[in-house]
Formats: sequence, C-alpha cells, structure tokens
Amino acid sequence: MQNKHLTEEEIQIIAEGNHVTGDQREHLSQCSECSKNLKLYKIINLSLDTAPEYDTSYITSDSVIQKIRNKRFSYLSSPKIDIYFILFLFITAVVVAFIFTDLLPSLQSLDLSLVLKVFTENEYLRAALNTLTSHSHILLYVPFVLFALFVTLFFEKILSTLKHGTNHT
Amino acid sequence: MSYIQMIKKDIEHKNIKELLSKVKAGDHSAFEIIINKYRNLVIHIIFRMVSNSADREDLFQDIFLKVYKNIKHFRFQSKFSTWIGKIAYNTCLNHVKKHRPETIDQSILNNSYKNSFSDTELLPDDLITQKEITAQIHKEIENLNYIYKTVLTLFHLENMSYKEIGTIMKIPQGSVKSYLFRARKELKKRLLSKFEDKEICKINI
Repeated sequence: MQNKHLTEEEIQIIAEGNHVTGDQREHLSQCSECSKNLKLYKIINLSLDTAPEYDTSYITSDSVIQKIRNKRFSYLSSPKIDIYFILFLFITAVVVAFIFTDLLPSLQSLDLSLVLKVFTENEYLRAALNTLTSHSHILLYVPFVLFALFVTLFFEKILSTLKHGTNHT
Repeated sequence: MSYIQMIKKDIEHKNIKELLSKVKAGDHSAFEIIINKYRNLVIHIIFRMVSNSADREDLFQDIFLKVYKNIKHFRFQSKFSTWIGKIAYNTCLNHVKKHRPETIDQSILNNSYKNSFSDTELLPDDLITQKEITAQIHKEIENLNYIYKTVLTLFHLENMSYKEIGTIMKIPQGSVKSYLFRARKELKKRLLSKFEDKEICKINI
C-alpha cells in the first residue's frame, strides 16, 4: 500500500473520473481520510456540473437582432477598404502627380501674375508665396488622393450592394 | 476521440460553416440560430462574472453584436464556441475592470436561487441533500474571484478542455489547471465551514 496520503491534486484528478493507478486504488480502499476527501470532491463536482437556476427570461435574442437590423450594424454601411485598395490608391496618386508636375512650369506661366500682384507689395506675403510656389507640386497630390478615395469607396459600395443587397431587409 | 464523436464534430463544423456563410450574406435568421445555440455559454460567463441584472442584459447584446460585426474575420483557427467564449470573456472582463468594486444586485441573487436552500431552513439533525449542497456551492462561487468563477464555469458547465479555456482567457494550460484545482479546494474549504464533512459524505452519489 502507498503509505503517503494522496495529494489534493491527485484526489481532484481522480474525482474528475480520470484513471486511478493500482497504488492509489489500494490506498483509497484502506485510507478513510483520502476516500472521504475523494467523496467530497465528487459531490462538489456534481454540484459544479449542475447549471445554476438563473432567471434569464429577460435576456432574449430579439433585442440583438433588432439592433442588427438597424443600418448601423449592416455590412453595407461599413464598406471594407482593404490594404490592396489603399496601396492602389497611393500608387495612382503618385503616378498622376508625377505626370502633372511636368506641367507645373506651364501652369505657373499662366496669367497668375494678375492675381499675385496684390501680394508683391508685401514682402512677407511675397516670401510666403515664393515658398508656396516652390513646393506647389505637393498640392497636386491632394485632389488626386481624394479623387482616388472617392472612386474606391464608390466601387466598393456598388460591389457590396450587388453582393448583399438582396438579402438585407 | 471515438469515430462517432469525430463524425459528430464534422457535422457540427459543416453546420457552423453553413450558418456563418448565411450570416455573412446578411441572413438574420441564421444569426438568430447562432445566438440561441451559444446563448447558454455566453449567459454562463456573464452571470458568473457580473452581478447587476441591467448590465448583464447590456453585455449579452454587446457580446453578440461584437460576434456579428467580427464574424467575417473568423477563420476556423479555433472552435467557434471558443471564439465566442473569448469575446464574451473579454467583454465581461473589461466591464468588471471598469466597474470595480461591482455592485451586487441582491434581488437577482435571491431570485436566482429561489428554489434553493437557505441557512435558516436547515436544522442540525436534518439530512443534507445534494440539491442543498449545490445551492450552497453556487452561492460560494459568487464570492470567488472572476478567474476562478470563469475557469469553473467553462470546465464544468461548458465541458471545455484546458486548452480551450486557456485560449479564451489568454493563460497557459498549466495555469488553467492550477486555477481549477485551487478554486475547487477553496470551495471545499468554504463548504466544510458550513457543513460537517460526515453529513456531506452521507449523500448518495
């Protein structure tokens, strides 16, 4: 016989219905302390396996479904823009910007001087204008990025409507 | 795992896959089936971690709305029940952290065990029944910390493995086992402070 008492952990494992070794079985048959402990854990486990009698009648699926029916949670209202679209968007913006920066000199030679005359009298404004015109090509990115974003969202929405539109209530 | 269990698991997997594709296509009745199928799992987690009835209802809605919104990201890398359990546990955990110390809704606690044992009903010579022990155990669980409560719930009520529980709670399997042992040991200690061990052992199981 195994003289040492079984540990709490060993007893809990046996109480779960796991394999009992020969030594453990022999010890349990002769040790009232350990067999009492085992019975206690079996009783506890039986209680733990029983679901509590909670009053859950006020929790229903209706409220969840109602919220889902609300457009805020539909797939249509949250089009997914994946990483490839964003990548496409930036590449397009960069390419287009490069093409148009070649046109910048001719753009500057237009009759902008009439509008700019107002600024020439003030040296601070003139300095600011010079800085702005020397970096003006950056401004060209903005409309193209916005345009590409708009086109992307538009097509995403159309695709999403075609895919899910008929199933939505 | 037996052959029958494997087949059952396979059918279950196919059913879930079918349901999920319907939900992704916008079928609300398919999602209602999912809610009803996993209702008990979510309720067990919420009710064990949160005591306030209004909060419980809100959390139930929040959890299933999160499930709905994120269902397109579920890739079958774990069981669907584990995935839902994880969402439920994290949502409740955030709630518990925000609202600590929690206000315990005593009326719900009392209603929850309306048919069960109360201290005054038991006379010293009365025989203790398994039902009374169960009621006492459930009462004592309410006073344990939320980690113990969750581990006990997922293991005993949802029959989840250490691995699944570990995934839900983001803790190693060894810790799950350790928490489970400590929780049961604590329950035994508390039970013995209420009842004589001889009396408990008279129960036929």
